[in-house]
Amino acid sequence: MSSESSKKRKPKVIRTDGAPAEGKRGKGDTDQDVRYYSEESEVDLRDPIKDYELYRETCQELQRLMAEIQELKSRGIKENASEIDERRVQSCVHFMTLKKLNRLAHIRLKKGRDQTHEAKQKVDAYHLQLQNLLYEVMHLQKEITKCLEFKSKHEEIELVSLEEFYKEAPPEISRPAITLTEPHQQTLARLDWELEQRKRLAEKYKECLTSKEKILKEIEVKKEYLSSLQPRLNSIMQASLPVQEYLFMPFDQAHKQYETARHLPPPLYVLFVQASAYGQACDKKLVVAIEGSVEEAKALYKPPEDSQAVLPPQKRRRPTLGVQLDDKRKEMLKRHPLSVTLDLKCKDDNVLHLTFHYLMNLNVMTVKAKVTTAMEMTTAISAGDLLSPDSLLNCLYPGDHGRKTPNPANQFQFDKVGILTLSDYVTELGHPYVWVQKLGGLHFPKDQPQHTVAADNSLSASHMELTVKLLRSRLQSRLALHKQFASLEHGVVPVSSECQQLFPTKIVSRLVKWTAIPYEDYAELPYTKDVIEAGLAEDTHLYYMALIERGTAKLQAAVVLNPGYSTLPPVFSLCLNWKGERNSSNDDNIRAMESEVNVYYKELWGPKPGYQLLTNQLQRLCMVLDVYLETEPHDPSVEGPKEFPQEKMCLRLVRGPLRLKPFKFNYPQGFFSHR
Amino acid sequence: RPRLLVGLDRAAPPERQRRRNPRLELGRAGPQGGTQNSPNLPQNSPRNIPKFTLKWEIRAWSWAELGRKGCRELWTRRPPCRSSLEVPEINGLEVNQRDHWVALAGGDGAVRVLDLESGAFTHELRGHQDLVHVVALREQLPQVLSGGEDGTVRLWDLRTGAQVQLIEVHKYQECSRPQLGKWIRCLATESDWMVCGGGPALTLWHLRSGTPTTVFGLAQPQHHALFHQDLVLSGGVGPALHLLQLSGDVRGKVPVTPAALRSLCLHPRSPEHQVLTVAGNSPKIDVFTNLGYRAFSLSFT
Repeated sequence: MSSESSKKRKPKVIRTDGAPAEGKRGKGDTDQDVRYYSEESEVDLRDPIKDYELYRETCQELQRLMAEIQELKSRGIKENASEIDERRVQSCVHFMTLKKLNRLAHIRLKKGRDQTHEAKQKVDAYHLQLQNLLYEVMHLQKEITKCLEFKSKHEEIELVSLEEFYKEAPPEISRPAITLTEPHQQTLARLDWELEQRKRLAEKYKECLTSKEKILKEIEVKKEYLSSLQPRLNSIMQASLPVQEYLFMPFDQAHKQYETARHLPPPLYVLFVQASAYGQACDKKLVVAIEGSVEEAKALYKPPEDSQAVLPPQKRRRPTLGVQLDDKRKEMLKRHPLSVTLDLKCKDDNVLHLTFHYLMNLNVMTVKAKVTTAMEMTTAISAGDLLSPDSLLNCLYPGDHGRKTPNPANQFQFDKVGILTLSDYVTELGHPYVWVQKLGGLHFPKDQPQHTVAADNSLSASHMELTVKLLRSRLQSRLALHKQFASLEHGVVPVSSECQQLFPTKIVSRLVKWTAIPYEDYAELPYTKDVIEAGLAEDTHLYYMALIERGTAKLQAAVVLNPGYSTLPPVFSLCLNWKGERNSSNDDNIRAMESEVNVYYKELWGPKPGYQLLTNQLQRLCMVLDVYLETEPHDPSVEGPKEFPQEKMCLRLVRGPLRLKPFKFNYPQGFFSHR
Repeated sequence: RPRLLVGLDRAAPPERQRRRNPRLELGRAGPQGGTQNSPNLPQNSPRNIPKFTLKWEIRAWSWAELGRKGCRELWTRRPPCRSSLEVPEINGLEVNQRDHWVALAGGDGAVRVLDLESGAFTHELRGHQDLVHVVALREQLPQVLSGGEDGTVRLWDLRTGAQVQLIEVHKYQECSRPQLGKWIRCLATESDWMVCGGGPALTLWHLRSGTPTTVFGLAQPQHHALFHQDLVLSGGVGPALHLLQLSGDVRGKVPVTPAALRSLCLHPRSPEHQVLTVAGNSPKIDVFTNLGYRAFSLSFT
């Protein structure tokens, strides 16, 4: 700056100041473009320290001079004017020195700066170069690392292992001579091989694709063919139905049944399966079918409709508590819409129809029975109860009266809705016998209540045969009894030809009356107390009264018929009205007569299956009454002959401490003896 | 220790027959018909108790064995039988403890004597026209009384083997009841006295004179009678045990469980323990410790 200012003032300086400046500038005077100070060349020659000293001296001189001037000026103007001028001139010279020094300083500074600048520039240039180089180095390094890290795609390709490669690749590709030594070539070779293989495989793939397409098309064609076959088969099946029926091979029907069976609840399903299996395997006369509405059964398992959740606005009053309870009861006792029917056909074409229902909420099964006979049966009055659906299946197994629900958990359910016992609803719902539960595979163990009782196939299978046999024999026995009763009511004791040898040819006592009596009447008779006390007469049994007469003697026989006839024999209680009332408590012979029919019943069974037991027992009663009356000792106090002359042949009339009469008939000799 | 042997009546109502293997709680039952109390036995003499059956044989068991399981009879004796067509029965049996013989009332009308030591049938006393119901032994004398269906009571002497006395009970107006029959079922004797009954009314007889002294007014036929102290105990048709005084008065009529009594048995030779057991048409046996009332009943299980 100061150099520039000095450059500008230069002409002035030239004009005003003379000598020192001009002298120094002599060389560069001509070239005005280049402002060249001589100081510039002097700068290198002079010592800055000396210049500094000079500056100091000059300053001191100036100060001294100024001080002198001052002093002189203060003394007065005239005297000192020359000294002042001298001093002034000196100070001017000093001033010029100062200026020179200033110039020198400036130039020195400038030079210094220039030098620094130059050096700096050099350094900067080097620095820049260095930076460039470093940058380049770094760049190169990066490139190198990049190159080093570069994963060529070829590395992602899984190449076959070296051994395989050398084994499989043809030699023109593998070139083992070269590739073994140079890994690069080896890799190249491998890649070549890979490429070739892939090309081959790609071709293969294309071929496979095309063949697959072809095959798919063929499959389509065949599928269409098959689907067109289905309706044709259906039509053939329809057409074959009449043929099936004609040949008695109802496959279609069985198939339909199995379809319906899928909707059965588990116990009914078990029953259906086991009964069908049993029927097919062992018993051709057992027919199983399913009745009921399949749609309703399906509807049971659908989730409840929305309309159920939202009650329709009650326009009517709410139903009374009683009606609500009634509805709850109905709900509890609801039956499953499907039921299984079993038809047991017997040899003489009588059929026992059993319909099995399932009570869903109670988890028990019930059965309803009906009998259809081959021929019209004349119904005897006393036989009314024999085939009644209510009591037909009573006590099929001992003690199984079907009045209580076999599921102990039901009691709690009943308490909630106020049902006392299931027996009130039995006429409508059917009987919940224990054997029915067993056939459905339901087992309710008494001592351990279980949460859910599930249907068990093996339980059903183990009981099926015996139950069916019992059912058949029950039906047969009841029908046999039915027929027998019809005859008994007419006063005729039917004795079959096989049983004629049990009795003598002539029996005078006759059966005059045969009626059914209710249990209460039986219990009131004085001579039946022993039987009731022994537990042989319960309200599940059937009771009858027979009246046998001969002359003035009337024998009343009260009969209790066990539902398990004829395996379990009927029990007779006798009372003879002849010259007084005689029964087992006051007459040993009446007791003996009772034992003849009650104890020795096995002789009276007749041909298997023993349904003639009752009639044979009645015939035997007539026979022993004959013996009793005829062997009465003649009472000498009474006039006239005996009312009943002895016609029966007896060896001895009295035997034993009880003085019993001979009641045993011996065939073929035809005489009576004691047991 | 008192023991009781019990018999089952053959013609039992069905309910009894259904319970097979009846076992009496205090004693043991076998196939026979009658009760007999055990005598007070000295320890060292094993006594055999012969029992009869309605068959034609006598069986004996040892008292010592009876309580054990699987006891079998010691011996069986079959009296000789005339016809094979109809085998008769033994209706009554009395044991003479002192002389070791048994008197049997046979259904063929003969009274037999079985000697227990030899096992042979020593006497066969015939005279009755019909079956013999009951025998009674006279103390002191070797004599046997028998009563039968023919309505007679006969006295037999075993030394001679002959009938000594014949009493045709049914011919006496005082006691005969022809509407019931003439059979003699119950018979008991004590020294010179005899009580018998059945079809005819129960009557006390003096044996030596052979005359009836007292007729007991019991309407129903009696099946068994005993002399006890100064009483006659009898039972028959009707659920009652009759205590009768020798004068003829009815001292008591004790109700019993069976509808008819067949057998009375007193514990012998034990005045301080008075035990009477009665059995009849019932599955229960009544035991009396005091003749006035029934103490308890035994029943079969």
